[in-house]
Amino acid sequence: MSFKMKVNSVVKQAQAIFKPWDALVYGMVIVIMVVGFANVRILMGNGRERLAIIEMDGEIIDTIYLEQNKIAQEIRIDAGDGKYNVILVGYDYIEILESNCPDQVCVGWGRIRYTGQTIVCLPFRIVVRIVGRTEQAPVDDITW
Amino acid sequence: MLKQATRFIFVLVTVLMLAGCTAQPEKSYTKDLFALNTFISLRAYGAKAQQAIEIAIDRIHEIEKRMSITIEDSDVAQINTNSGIKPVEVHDDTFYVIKTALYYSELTKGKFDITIYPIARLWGIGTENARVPDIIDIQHKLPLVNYRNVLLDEKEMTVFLANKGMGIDLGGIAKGYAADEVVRILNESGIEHAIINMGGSITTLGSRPDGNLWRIGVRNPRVQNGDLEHMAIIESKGTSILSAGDYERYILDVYKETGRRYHHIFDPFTGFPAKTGVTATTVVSRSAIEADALSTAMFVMGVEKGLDMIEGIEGVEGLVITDDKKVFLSKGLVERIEFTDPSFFLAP
Repeated sequence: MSFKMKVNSVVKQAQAIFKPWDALVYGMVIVIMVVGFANVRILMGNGRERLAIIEMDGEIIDTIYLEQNKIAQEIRIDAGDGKYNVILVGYDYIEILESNCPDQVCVGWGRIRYTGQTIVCLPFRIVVRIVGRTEQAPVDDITW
Repeated sequence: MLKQATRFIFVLVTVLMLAGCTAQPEKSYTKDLFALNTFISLRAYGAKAQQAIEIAIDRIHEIEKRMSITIEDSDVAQINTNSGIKPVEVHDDTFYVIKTALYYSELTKGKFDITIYPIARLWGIGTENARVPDIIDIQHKLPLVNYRNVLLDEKEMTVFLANKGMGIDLGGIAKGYAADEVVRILNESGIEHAIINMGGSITTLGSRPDGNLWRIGVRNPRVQNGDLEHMAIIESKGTSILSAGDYERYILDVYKETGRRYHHIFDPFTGFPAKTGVTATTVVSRSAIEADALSTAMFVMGVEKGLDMIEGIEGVEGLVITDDKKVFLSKGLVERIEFTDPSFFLAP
């Protein structure tokens, strides 16, 4: 069997396996897969979408999509009995600007911008955190 | 027709299997809670993570019930109420923590001392009643501070504060003990990778799930707007990294008026916040209870004595940051630390 014949034979076998309708089915499967993946990627955020979540006593009291925040906004959280925190939410960060809590650790904390980071106002039990897709934080956690 | 259907299913299964081949990070479970007078965050990796963390949280609450100074029937509250009156029988773990605290008091020549409570209460730093007390009041309370007057009876499992008015606060060291207990429980549950944050005290079990070392930032003690929160990164696995600093809690009104920081780390010999030119200390150790006692003691001792002490203890490393942003490292830390803020510089 010459080389050409060999090739022909392989092609014929292949034709026997891949009938035109099969090709269509495979094509459709591939298209569905690609569209499916693209969808998942978009839904999960393509590395840009991030949220700030504000919690009090473990309950979520506010959720802000950071990208939609073209201008930084101040949010005042009333913790009852005159206790309050003022939170500044920017386009890629969140920080506690002001609080009348006794220890002021939260006010001195600075800005957070990566998923998993939190600022905690212990006396008022307020937690501010970033969730969603952000670039990798430079550290796993911070000792203080 | 049947053949076609078989082929179709074959192709579909193959494609789906390949789709599963994109790198999946190991499953993790995270839980946050307020306990032990702080904010705690636990994260473990692997299939058993959730179950293990739930057990660990029960243990944290148990420790809190026994060692919290603000829970009326806790061992610690009972010990304080009965100071100068009678010995109090306590749980094994409370006894262990107090005994360990006294060990570190001895080791640090009294710079770390759980009997500081009457002084801490007088200042009230971190509470709404924070104030600079009258010097007379400080001198009046100071004789009550002495770890040697905590009397343990191993046989009866009792603790007795010899003088009326004495008090102990296990605050930090109880948190350290809880972190060690969480690691023990996670380890026994078959967890290989975990990271625990107890109000800024970071304890890790094993390495990161990707096999790399954990990267733990050291808080910049003088963070300004726009600064990174951390001034250095320490790489480690299976360690506790704890810090003490004058920036955590201090009397803000007085600071704004005078620039003087009256913070929450007291010198047991003066009854005043320790003033040694140190703004923060960090200790890396295999045990959180040890790291807690040593980071506090190092703050009170100052650079030279503090580092001398650390160098003398095997398996422990530390750093001290001073007022003028100098950073002093123990020898073993030099290779493991990376500075991220150029305004801090390594002291020779």
